[in-house]
Amino acid sequence: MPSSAASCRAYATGTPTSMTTEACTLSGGNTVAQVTNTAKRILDPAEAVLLYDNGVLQAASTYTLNHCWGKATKASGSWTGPVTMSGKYLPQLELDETFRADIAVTRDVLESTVFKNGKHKTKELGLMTAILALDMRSMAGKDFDTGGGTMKLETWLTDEEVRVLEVTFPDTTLAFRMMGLLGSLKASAAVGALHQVTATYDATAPAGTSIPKPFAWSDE
Amino acid sequence: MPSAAHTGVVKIGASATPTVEADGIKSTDWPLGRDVLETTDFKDGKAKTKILGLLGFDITLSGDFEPSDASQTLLRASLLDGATVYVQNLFDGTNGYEAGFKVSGFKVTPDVAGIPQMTATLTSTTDVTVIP
Repeated sequence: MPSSAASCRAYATGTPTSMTTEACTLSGGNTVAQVTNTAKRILDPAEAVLLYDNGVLQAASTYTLNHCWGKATKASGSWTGPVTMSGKYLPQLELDETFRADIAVTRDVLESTVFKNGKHKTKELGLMTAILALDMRSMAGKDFDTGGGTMKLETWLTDEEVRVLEVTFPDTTLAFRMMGLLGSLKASAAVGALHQVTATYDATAPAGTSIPKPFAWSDE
Repeated sequence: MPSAAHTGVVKIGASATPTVEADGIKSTDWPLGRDVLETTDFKDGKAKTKILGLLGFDITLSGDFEPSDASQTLLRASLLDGATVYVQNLFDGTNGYEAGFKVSGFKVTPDVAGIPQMTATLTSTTDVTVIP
């Protein structure tokens, strides 16, 4: 059943904040551990995560970490529990003047046709990427941080820091998160209209990190 | 005799002959096509001659984004895991096509004034079955 997009929301992340032995909830037959506190689930990709299972530090090679949703999936076997994570999380601030989002996840198409295939082409999928564009009734210099800090899109275009963006959907727990760089900021002004800004982010993990996929839907 | 398109049925599944009808889809495009190979030689006179090569095409499925719909969820997952999905489109509820595809793109656009829209782009990777 479709729902109005009026209750969608868009968020970006602010200053990394330390967390110590943050409790995790187990699921998937105890193969997945997720940070319990929803406000601390976006893990800072530039900071190492220390994951403890029943008080024992786990080697990073023994699990796959989903930074966008604070999930650690065991490579083999299951967690004993309790599982905790230490590191830094990224708090969210709402991009409260967003009125439209465009989320595009794509993969390269690689043709694999050989003589044996007969008359039709066959394909495989190659590299994936995502682009997120947000339209806001804002000026590029608006400060989205309602606390003591500063969060201005025009600063992001020059500071080249990777941030995590999120778009939520109405009447569902489904949401999309993406680490990305602000690559384009288009400001529009017309005498008879409101100021408008389109911010376009390209998915990427910070340089030097080995994060295999910098974006994820919440149900992955 | 022209017929209204609202009787169309779109089924999507992880194996051939899918049975589950997708929710939210409002528009489909099936540009079936084969590569055209020119065979013109000096003997042929003034007209080009051609033969047909490989069959391959991209389809788009678009409509309302339904986060809880199993078919749309399968499209999103198949984009990420690279699995082949099978799409059966019966344009009037009875006649149509089925083929296997790789999902090369999934786009979602929520606009405050409307319903979130989705567009999935799929590229063919099997032969086409004409139904019935």
